[in-house]
Amino acid sequence: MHNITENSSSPASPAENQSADLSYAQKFQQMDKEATAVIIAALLITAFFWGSIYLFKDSPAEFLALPLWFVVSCLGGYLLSIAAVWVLVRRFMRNFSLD
Amino acid sequence: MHALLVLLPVALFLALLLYVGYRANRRLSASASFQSEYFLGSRSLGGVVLAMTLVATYGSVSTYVSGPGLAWGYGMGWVVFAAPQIITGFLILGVLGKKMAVLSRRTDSLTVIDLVSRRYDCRALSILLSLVLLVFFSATTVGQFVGGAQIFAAITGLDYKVGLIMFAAVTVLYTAGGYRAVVLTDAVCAVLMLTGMFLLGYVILHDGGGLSAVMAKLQTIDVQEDGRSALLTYNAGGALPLSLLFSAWLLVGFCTVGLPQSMVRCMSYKSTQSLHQAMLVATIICGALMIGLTLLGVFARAVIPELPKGGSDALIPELIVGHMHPLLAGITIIGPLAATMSTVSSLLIAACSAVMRDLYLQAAGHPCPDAVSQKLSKLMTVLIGAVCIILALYPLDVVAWINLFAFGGLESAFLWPLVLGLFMPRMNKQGALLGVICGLGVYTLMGIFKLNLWGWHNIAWGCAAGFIASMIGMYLGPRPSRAVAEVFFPHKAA
Repeated sequence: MHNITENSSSPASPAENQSADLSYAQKFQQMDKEATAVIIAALLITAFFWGSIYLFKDSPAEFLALPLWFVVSCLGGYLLSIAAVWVLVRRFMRNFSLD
Repeated sequence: MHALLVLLPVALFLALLLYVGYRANRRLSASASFQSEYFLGSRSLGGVVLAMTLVATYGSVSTYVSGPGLAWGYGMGWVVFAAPQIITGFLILGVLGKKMAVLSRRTDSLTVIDLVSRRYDCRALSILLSLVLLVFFSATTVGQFVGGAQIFAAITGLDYKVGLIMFAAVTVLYTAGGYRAVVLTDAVCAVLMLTGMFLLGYVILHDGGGLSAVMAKLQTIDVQEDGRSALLTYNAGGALPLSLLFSAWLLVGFCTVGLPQSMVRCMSYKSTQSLHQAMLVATIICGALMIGLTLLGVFARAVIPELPKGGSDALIPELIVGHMHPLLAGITIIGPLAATMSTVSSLLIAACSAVMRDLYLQAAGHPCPDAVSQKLSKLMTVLIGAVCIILALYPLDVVAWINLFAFGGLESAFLWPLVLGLFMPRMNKQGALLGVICGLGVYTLMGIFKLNLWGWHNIAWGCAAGFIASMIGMYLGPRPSRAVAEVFFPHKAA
């Protein structure tokens, strides 16, 4: 309890630190990193999509009456995308002033 | 009576859009800088609106009509074709979003071509890209008007021209109110596109007797030698070659980073927090709409087993007319109309900016003053809109034909100059110019001569040619100037 209040009232909370500290050049370093992370995430989603089609395309199994390959690749890929963006914005992308 | 019930929700929808546009227009007269407000909404978009306008602009009448129609024929293979759009919602925002926001503020750019001019300082490139944008955007607008009017006529039974003039005039009118009017109406449209999809889904599953019954029915159609239905295979029983399905990951996946109507949105949001929020929301909505609508086309086969007389594009109208209560039909038809109008409004305002800012600058030698822009911008928007309405009333083959090439053409022209220009310090105007000419050239020529190399879509070849030509031009030309490097690559300028 004590810790929580201390963190939220402290001026040195991580989010504020980041926006105050980045210089113009540092923002560009950060943006290059973020763009790389986003492209890697998109490639991983692509790989997952085609990997699951390759693995399950001949499987007779069904889920909710839908073919298994479809459920894993299309519906699973959709959920994976949402999860990937969640991780990207939480872990890899930082807040800073755009000016 | 039937037509009246259908028209009532549509009329309310059009009135709502006009009202939202009117409210935004009042902000316009109160703003400090006319052009920044008119073309970018004073860079004030929040995350949810940014996501909605991105997806609503991207999703067009073909998402609503042609896509499900094709899925009716190919089955789940066509969902595989549409599936790359699970990454479309976040890719451009994640890759270009922050750089375009930071750099457009730093260089006072209000359009994508503004930014291209600052990066390359090349007159020929700016004029070429402005013209590409103007021609493709106008042709797409005409195509959208025609598509929207056809579905309107099919559902209400009213004359094609009546419907066209009604909703096209409303679109042009509120678009003239500026970018803020465009994005706010886009947000309304995105919600109604989703609503239409859920209503269609409900009707299909209801009339089909539930998901299990629908799937059982599909298993008996197009049965192949191995006893499985071609509709339930990933490649439509071989009708969709792997190379085409892979190409889709470029056309509606990775290369959508090159769509200028999406790029301009990257310059118009408020803060990094809005961008992060928009990435999440856009991914959720974009994937739901693109996979959802295509999948509904597959399911519709169980309800409408025979190909409609008007071809596969008539599938959705037939579903709405034949299977829905008129009032519900009226709400559902707003979906494709919203998809049409939200795409058109964004293209029109961007086409206006290409004329008023980019071509004006090149013709007059100095940027258009705010006072001139204030007088002429609305007029220009209405003028371009009026030309597109006339071309939709009296269709020309050449316009329909340009429309076919517009989506991939825009991608193959804008992708490399922007992506390489923002991430590769060595990139210069020689590379950009050669890349645009070769990328767009190869893409278009392969389309004209219907060259089909191993089943790959022309976007794959256009994209590859553009990249190789960019590299060749880049190494033949000199490094960009110190001044450019300091603004665009402060972390690499030694």
